[in-house]
Amino acid sequence: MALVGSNANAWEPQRNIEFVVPYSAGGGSDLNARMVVEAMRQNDLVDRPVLVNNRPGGSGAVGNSYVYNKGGDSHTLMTFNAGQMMSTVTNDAPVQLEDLTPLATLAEDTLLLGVKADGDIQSLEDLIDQANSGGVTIGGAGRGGEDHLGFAMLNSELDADLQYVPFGGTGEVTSALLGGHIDAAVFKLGSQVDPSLVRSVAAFSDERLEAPLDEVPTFAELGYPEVQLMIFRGYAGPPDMPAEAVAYWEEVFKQVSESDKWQNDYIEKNNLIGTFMGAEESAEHYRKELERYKQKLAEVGFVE
Amino acid sequence: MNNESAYAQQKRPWLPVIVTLLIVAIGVTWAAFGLFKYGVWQNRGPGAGFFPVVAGSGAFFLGLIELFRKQERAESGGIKSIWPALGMALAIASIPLFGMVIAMSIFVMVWMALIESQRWWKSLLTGLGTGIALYLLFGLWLRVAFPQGIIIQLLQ
Amino acid sequence: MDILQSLLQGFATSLSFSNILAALIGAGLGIVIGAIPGLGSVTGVALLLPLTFQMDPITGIIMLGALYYGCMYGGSYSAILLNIPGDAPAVVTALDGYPLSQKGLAGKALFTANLSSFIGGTVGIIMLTFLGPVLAKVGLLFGPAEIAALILLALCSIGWLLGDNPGKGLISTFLGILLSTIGLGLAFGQPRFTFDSMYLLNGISFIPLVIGMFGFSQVLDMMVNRINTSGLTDKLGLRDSLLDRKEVLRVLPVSLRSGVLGNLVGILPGAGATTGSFLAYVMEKKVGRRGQDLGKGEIEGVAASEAGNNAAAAGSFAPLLSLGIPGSGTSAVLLGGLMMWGLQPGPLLFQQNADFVWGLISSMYLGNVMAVLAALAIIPFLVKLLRVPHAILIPVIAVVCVVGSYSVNNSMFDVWFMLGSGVVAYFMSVAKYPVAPLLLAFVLTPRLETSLRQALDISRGDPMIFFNSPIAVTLLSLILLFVLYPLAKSLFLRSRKKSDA
Repeated sequence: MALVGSNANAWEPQRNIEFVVPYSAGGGSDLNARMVVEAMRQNDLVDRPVLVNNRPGGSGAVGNSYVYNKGGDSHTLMTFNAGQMMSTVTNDAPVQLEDLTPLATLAEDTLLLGVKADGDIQSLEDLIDQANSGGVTIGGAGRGGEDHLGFAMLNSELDADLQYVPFGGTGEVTSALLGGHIDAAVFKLGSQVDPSLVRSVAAFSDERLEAPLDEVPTFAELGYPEVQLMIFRGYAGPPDMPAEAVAYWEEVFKQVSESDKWQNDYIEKNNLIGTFMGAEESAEHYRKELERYKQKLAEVGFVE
Repeated sequence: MNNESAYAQQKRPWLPVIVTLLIVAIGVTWAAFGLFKYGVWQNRGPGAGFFPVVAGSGAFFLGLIELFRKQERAESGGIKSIWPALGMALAIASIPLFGMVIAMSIFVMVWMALIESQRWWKSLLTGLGTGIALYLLFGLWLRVAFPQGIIIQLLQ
Repeated sequence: MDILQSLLQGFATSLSFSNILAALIGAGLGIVIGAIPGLGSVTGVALLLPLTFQMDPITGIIMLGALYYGCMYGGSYSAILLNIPGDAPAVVTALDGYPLSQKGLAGKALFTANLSSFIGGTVGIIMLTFLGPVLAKVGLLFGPAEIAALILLALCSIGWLLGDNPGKGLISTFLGILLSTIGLGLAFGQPRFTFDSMYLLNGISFIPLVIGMFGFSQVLDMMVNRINTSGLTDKLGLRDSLLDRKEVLRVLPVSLRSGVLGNLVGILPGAGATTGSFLAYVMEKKVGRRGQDLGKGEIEGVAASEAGNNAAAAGSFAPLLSLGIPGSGTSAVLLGGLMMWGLQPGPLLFQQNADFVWGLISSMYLGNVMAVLAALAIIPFLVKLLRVPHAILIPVIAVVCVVGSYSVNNSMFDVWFMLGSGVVAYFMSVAKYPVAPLLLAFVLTPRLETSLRQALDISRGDPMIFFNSPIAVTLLSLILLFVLYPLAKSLFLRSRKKSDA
């Protein structure tokens, strides 16, 4: 018996649920989806089996289109995160935010600006000084993704000579930073880079992070309120999903976010910031963020 | 090398020439895109068109040289092997209808019965066995999300 | 002897009944997953990871480590038996493995693959045990400029594989480079040659390409040129699969030196196991006693490739454990696992969770032994595959090609792409264009392009970044020495011959 099944008029799943992940098995979105499924199973939240279906390709566009083509279906869910939404803009993808139905947002990640722990640069001030005397290279994972967007914010606010260097992943960025090949790097909070190797000089978060990163000032505190990026991890469904189904899934995701499994094994172990936004709130939030991304990406000439 | 392929070679000396001509065409396309669309040199270094131009012109010029050399004997017969590829194409095209597992079972059965002229019960058993193995290994154990096919969905 | 003591301590932790059982199960599953074209260790580890959360962390990581090794073993099987490499490093294994199979020596090839994988893996693990943190620091010296030079060296070495017709081999290499430029690469912000298809936006996926070019074109070829297997089947018993003393002595030194080289390459950020196994193969071609015959079906070729890629796999653990930096796709998934267990990889891991780290390292030894045992049990059954009549084998392989290429990305586009590249590769081979250089160039080029662009972004366009680094300069001079010298020599000889005539 599902927890939300008490209302006689409420929608209930009639067959297997397809949980689409627009990225490969083993990636961040895949782990996220599998953890959601596990939390649903352990707490008996959904009566029918929920099956994860990886549809990678096109920086999320293949999965987005796959879900879009199931318009009106209440048995299809997908992971939807900030990077996926950004790539719809940078790649001018066929399926955009307004073509999907946001369902809920359960976690947020943010970015940190890091330098080598035992290097010459120790603070944001040092970094700006060096940038003005000879330029600074800042590494990040990927091109046109969250890290690049974080850099774009720095570049437009800091008034210094900065150069972005894209790498294949956080591992390669860290290697380049520790080897002294780049001066600084943008990291996701969730990638949990070792603080004894990499010193975080400033955080992109809207407020101070929890210990052990509570010593790290936010960019707003340092006088750059525009440098702020919270990366959401949410869920969406196909276009025109019936309102009863949206309400059902919103409630299920709410239960997931409150479960011990989710709190302990996902949020805490992945060093993320737990949150809950329902369907409407998520839709509103995504729309606002999308406008901001478009503007920032346009400022660095990534989109027109 | 057997008699058949030697025969094919005598009959179709133009096959390698066509392949090389295609390579020359691809090379010139890539080089042109690299040169005019993507840019060979940007930001004080090799640009997005650099590798397409280098490899494209390489394939183009070496391909031309290859065309003027004496053609070697080709290794195996040509056009006949298109038939299995077409058969496979047909089977793949039927996947949205039957679903992956059933389409592949039918492919094995039809192939063995028609092309390999095996006995019908042998073809049937091998086809069924393939289907069951696919279902157990990929569907149940590895949880690969196979396309289900319209027919199965109607039955549900 | 502090390390030795810790290692023994580690063995004490890992050698329990349940752990050995976990390693055996992991190794067996790994061999099966690795042998299926289209599924590799990343998928395997990702599939098994959620299952291991219920276990004790050490048991869990032992199972995953054994699975990882099993996959590496399994990947070579389909390459040797069917000429369908299960993953990128196995392309190199197929170069000699499949010709051996055709000679009726499939059993020996499989056994060589296992023996050298074992030796290579062991060399890699021993280096990891005693030199791990040091090696990880050495790896950091390799920035984009140095990696670019290394990949360029590997790319130029394809020239040595070209065989009888260098012109066609070079064309094939260029085609591989052309294919690799399709999609939205890391190096540049613009999509290239995608023709506005979202399926091409992230480039061509390697596994469908390799399954088509090797596997499906093989099916087409078998339709026309039926290999007469009746003469081959006598030598497929277990006894004929075992290597004799002389052959073991041939394989041993190759595996050792390939293991050392592969391990060093595996440690470098972003270089990968393919570069490891390929460079080991090339080294064997240059320095080995049977170097010239490599590619025609020599066990040395299989040994170099397999030892190289298993040692590289062990090498990729060094930066993971000592710096928390994953060196490969699989170790990135494992990193996720470590964090799920509440362990933070990095220099502190060795101090704070010493028993876990040494348990993990000792489990690699255990996993390797289990993988070799499981593999030995499977070989006699595998070679029987070759006895299956072609009437059954051909359609079944065709089906495996379809299902394998679908499973990588759950994509029908990939299936069609596999079919297309199979037909293309078939006609290429009819026209005598070799396929292996194309695939190797396809794997290596994007890494070269990315590192090149990164290096120049860092130096702001100053090419001196390649000449100020002693490592890059050494690698670049190696290229000049090894690649250009023989070329110049042959040109010189040819012109002298002409003038003599």
